[in-house]
Amino acid sequence: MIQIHVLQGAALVWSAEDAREIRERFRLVGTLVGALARKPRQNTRLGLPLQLLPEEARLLAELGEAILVRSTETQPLAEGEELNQASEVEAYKQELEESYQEQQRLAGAERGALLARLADHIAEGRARRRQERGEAPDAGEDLGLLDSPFILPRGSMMVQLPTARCHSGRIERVDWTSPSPDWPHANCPAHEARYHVFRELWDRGYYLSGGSKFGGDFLVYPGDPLRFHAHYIALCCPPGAPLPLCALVAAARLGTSVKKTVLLCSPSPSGTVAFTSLQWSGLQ
Amino acid sequence: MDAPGPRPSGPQWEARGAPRGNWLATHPKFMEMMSLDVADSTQVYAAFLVYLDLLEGRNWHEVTCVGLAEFQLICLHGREREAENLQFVVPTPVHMSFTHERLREIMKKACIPQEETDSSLSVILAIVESDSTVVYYKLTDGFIMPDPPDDTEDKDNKQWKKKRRKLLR
Repeated sequence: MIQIHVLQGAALVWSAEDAREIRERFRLVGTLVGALARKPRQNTRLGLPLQLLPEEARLLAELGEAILVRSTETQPLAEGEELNQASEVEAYKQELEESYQEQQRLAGAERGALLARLADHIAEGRARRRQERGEAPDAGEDLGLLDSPFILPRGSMMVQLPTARCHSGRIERVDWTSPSPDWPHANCPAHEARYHVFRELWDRGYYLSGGSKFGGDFLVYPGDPLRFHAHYIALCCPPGAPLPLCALVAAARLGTSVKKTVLLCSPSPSGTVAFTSLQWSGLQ
Repeated sequence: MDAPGPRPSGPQWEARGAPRGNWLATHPKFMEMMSLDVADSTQVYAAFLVYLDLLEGRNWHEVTCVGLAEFQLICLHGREREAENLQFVVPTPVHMSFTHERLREIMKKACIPQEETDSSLSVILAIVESDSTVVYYKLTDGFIMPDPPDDTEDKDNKQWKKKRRKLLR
């Protein structure tokens, strides 16, 4: 069962296996929104968690393939849990210390080997400097460097940042059919209309993603977005909503310049969705 | 909107800004559209401008006007060239707004089914601005795939321009 963590309306998937399954089995793409531990200061490549559109999360919940959960970590611990957590912290600190000692030992050994290799070089350099300064050559000092104890600074220590937990932490289930602070979309008319359109397009076999980059609700792809450009920019028009002609012209013109067809989508009360394609007529 | 529309030059004009007569109001086609008595004057004016643009400006082969009483619109049927299919043009002033359902209903009523069965419902929406600019956008029922990018032409131009800039630096 896929776990979707909801936080103030955002749906997040933290497990890499789940993220993969969502794409491969369910044809849902989502967006990776997490900073990569080794390359934090850029936005070209991001990592987990995978953020799903509210429509994508609802689809998975409706299919019975996922549950919505929220973290309860911010709530005060129960008695038994507190002791558990304290011992976990102790164990972690112990591990860190052991790792530090090991790293220090290895770094010291490596440094020793390096110095041994360069011993002659160093001796030469020392002798030359003493000659320049006019002092007498002294054979006894050469091995001095190797004797001083090597301390690895704590700031240079390598630390592993786990990007997955072995267990999901304290969570509780969220009902996707009723509105709550972490999942406010339930029963919201705008969300219902968008979901209706999303579901219809998904049922027809398309891949869908968010359309905000092109001023629409969804982008509709004939295949995986990694392999295809979007064909349509889907605009949800709830029944009865007026479409000002300026907005229509703006949307159509944008669609023409980015080589996508604008798709006006309206869910009808009977359950079907009406689709109208809007394109430039070609008349200059 | 009571601007007299595009002003012809010539002997009709005695002084600037003082036309002899309002040629538009007495134009036979305009009068025919008014006599259909289905739409208000702004929509008739828009329809007339589109009519002139298609016939005179774009040299369409033929254009006729048809009233759609239930929508209070005049729409135009026309052929770009003699051998081509009939196209349905719906002129509208820019300030009007439609719901998606209304547009679809207009599409259904305006389109007359053609002989070939594979042609789906399609109209051209002709949007008229107060300065007489007309923009034409096509509405079609269903999913119409966009034209694939014209690889050779676009790529060649862009890459050629980049190379030139680099060479000349």
